[in-house]
Amino acid sequence: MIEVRDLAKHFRVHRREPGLRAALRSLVRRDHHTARAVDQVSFTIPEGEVVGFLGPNGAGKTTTLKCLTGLLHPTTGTVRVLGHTPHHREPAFLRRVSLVMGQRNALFWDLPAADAFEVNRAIYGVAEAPYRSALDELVALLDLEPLLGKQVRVLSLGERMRCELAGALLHRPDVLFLDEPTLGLDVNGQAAVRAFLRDYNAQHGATILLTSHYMGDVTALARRVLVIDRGTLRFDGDLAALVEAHSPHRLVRVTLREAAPAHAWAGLGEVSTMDGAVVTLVVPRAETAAIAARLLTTLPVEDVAIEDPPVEDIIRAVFADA
Amino acid sequence: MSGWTRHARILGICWRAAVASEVEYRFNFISNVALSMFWMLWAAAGASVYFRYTGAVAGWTNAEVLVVIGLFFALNGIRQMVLQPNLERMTDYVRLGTLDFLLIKPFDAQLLVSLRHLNVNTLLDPVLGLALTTTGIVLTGRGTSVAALASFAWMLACAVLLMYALTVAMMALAVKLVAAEELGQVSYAFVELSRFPVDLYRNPVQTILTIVPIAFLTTYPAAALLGRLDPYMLLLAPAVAACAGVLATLAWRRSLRSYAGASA
Repeated sequence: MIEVRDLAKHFRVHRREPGLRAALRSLVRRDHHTARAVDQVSFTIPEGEVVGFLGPNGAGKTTTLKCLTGLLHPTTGTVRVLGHTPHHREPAFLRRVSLVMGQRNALFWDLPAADAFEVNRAIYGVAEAPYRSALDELVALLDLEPLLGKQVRVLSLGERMRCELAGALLHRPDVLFLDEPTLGLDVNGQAAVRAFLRDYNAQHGATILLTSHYMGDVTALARRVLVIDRGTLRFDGDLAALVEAHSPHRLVRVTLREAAPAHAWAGLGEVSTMDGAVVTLVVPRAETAAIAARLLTTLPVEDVAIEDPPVEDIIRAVFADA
Repeated sequence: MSGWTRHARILGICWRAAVASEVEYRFNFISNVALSMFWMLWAAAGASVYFRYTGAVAGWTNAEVLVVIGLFFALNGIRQMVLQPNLERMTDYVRLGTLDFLLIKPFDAQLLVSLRHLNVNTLLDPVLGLALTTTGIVLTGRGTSVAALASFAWMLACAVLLMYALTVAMMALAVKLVAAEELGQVSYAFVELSRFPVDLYRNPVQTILTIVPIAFLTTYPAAALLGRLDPYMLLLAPAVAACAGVLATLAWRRSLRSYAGASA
């Protein structure tokens, strides 16, 4: 479905010192250097899988995504998506993929949403019956009915994003590339988009590669993650395995019937926060069960919850290790 | 649906939207027509100065020069109506990353990028230009023939293709430079050179304008209408236009190879 072998994408970048003198000098002589946006990245994604693509700003996520969609020509390495080489931009390939980028407009900006969808229908050559069926489904799932007659440019960010998703899926793509699809959306908007993508994947078996700064997007949709930093792939595997490998601790949140003195927690792990009768302990992963059992026998426990640290912290740990 | 029908249908939807949004501003349309008429009459009056004391310059009479000036306004009108609004948007396409979404569609990206927008305000400019050309033909007192009209239509089609190729080449450059505003001026400067028959210029300018090939924009179509075009030009003009079209398309494709996007 998606095969990436030793992908590298390098850019020749103009470099100049600050100041007027340097600016004038750059008119006659320019210094360039090679920026290695992506370097020796390899992975495969089978049909129907949802994969989260994580990394800090400038890590190479978008560049990789653009190589996979054929927008960028790889410097070296090979990319195959649905049996095609993306940068050849064959219509048979482009008809089966879609790209959604948060806060960017793919729909024609100056048209009402319904007309913009009609343009997409004509561009992707979708017949009337399947188009109607897809449109009806998307209008219902994304609650688009009130938006169809409005020009895309007058829609709010959340409304536009819902329309963008619909526009990107009207031709029922087999592979969906999502770059920060919930960027700038409020909590409700994020939840709606996540729920919709989960349903779309379940119903149509589409392969989805998703980049997001919101860990909620990734944890809600993807079991497998790719972690990239400074153009190099740092991790490829289950999100759970990532958590286990890079977080030797777990969080035990204890609610007592009445507050206990500080010495009562000795030997039960590190106290992270203490708010009256609610205490959060950081405990070694291997000793979690034993410590939880001791807590129940030695303290007046009302409730106990065991959690992994936030995935953001774990990702930070991955990059720190790197 | 065949490829051409599909392309025409999609551009039709885009153009309908452009017309619908721009006719809201009626004053722009009327003021543009008034300005175009003024500049055209001013150009015609300016040209008549050269003919005050002589009947012809380099073999061209005043009426014949009016045919060329009319053609210049007609072609420039087409450029302002279809090509310029799209070229102007190239900077934004590249800078804001909108080009990504045009490139990822299973549609000829060059056609979509170069023809999607329409400036309705200059809709009448080609008509006004052709009206001046017709006036020039009437003033020659010789009229024209069906064969001359057919040759003229053929040469004019080649001129439009040539101008389109020039615009696509500019767009290719805009992908690399991320600056199309100035390139719009360059494209206008090229067309501006065709305001007068190339025979009016001294050599080597005349030869350069024939090779570049500015002469194919207005001088040769006007010569066809006046019935004095060398017949071999009917073959040379499409060859030149086709070559320019192929070179511009190759330049466009090459520019896409080095396209880095907005946030790579």
